Amino acid sequence: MSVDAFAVLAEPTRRRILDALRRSECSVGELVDALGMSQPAVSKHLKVLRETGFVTCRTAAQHRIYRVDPRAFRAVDGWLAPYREMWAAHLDALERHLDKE
Amino acid sequence: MHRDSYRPGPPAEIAAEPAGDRWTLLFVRELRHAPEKVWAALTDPARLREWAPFLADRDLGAPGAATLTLVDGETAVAHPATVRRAEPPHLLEYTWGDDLLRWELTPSGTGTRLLLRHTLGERGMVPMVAAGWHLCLDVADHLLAGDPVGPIRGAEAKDFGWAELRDAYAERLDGRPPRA
Repeated sequence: MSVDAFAVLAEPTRRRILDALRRSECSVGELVDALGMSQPAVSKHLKVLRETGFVTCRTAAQHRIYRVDPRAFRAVDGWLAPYREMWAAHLDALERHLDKE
Repeated sequence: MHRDSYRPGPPAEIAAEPAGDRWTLLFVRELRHAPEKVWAALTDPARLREWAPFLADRDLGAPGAATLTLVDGETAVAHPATVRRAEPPHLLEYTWGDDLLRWELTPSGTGTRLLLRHTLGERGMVPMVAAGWHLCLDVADHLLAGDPVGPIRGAEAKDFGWAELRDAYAERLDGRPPRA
């Protein structure tokens, strides 16, 4: 997993865009209306999200409709996996401790 | 003019032209000032910051690389640009990210007829981009007249009639209301 993915997600506006797209696919205009952001800002952030694989788009009647692409998130999820195991190991230890009580 | 009293002027003459797999917005605006004065407003970073949607890191009046930073409230995102043509005070052309902007200035009486060609990715964006430039050029016209209202950029445009302008331009282009 590249560091780039975290740099992309570090920008709060992009996370807001992803949160909106997670609920339903949207055009630029719908995101502008829903998020209270300017069109140039939404467009520029979508470009970054598209180039890094977090969103894909299809064209429908003059508009590009954007949606979340789960593949990029699987990479982030994969990076987190060993940390989840660490957490699980602590829980196992807690359970062993309680077994001895 | 006090900022709160500013209201957008009537919609300008616009058109949308196919440009390969992309689209070009044509936006015509008459300004009450000579081309030399308009040229300075289009190229000088100190003037650009008073009306344009971006901040420029250098004078745009010479070819070569530049950085144009999009400002929206607290956030600012830098985008690479390249000035491809600069022929004062008639023609200025530069890229901004994936977009291409070409400004043509023609003397018109004591003022200037400004033709902006803005090439972008999708046809559906044209009315939105037209509404944005409408507000910016209104602000520029006030600035040149010595009656500044202050920059209107980013989401703030929505407080100054951006959505109504977008709908008016969509209706002009398509001959019907955008959400009918």
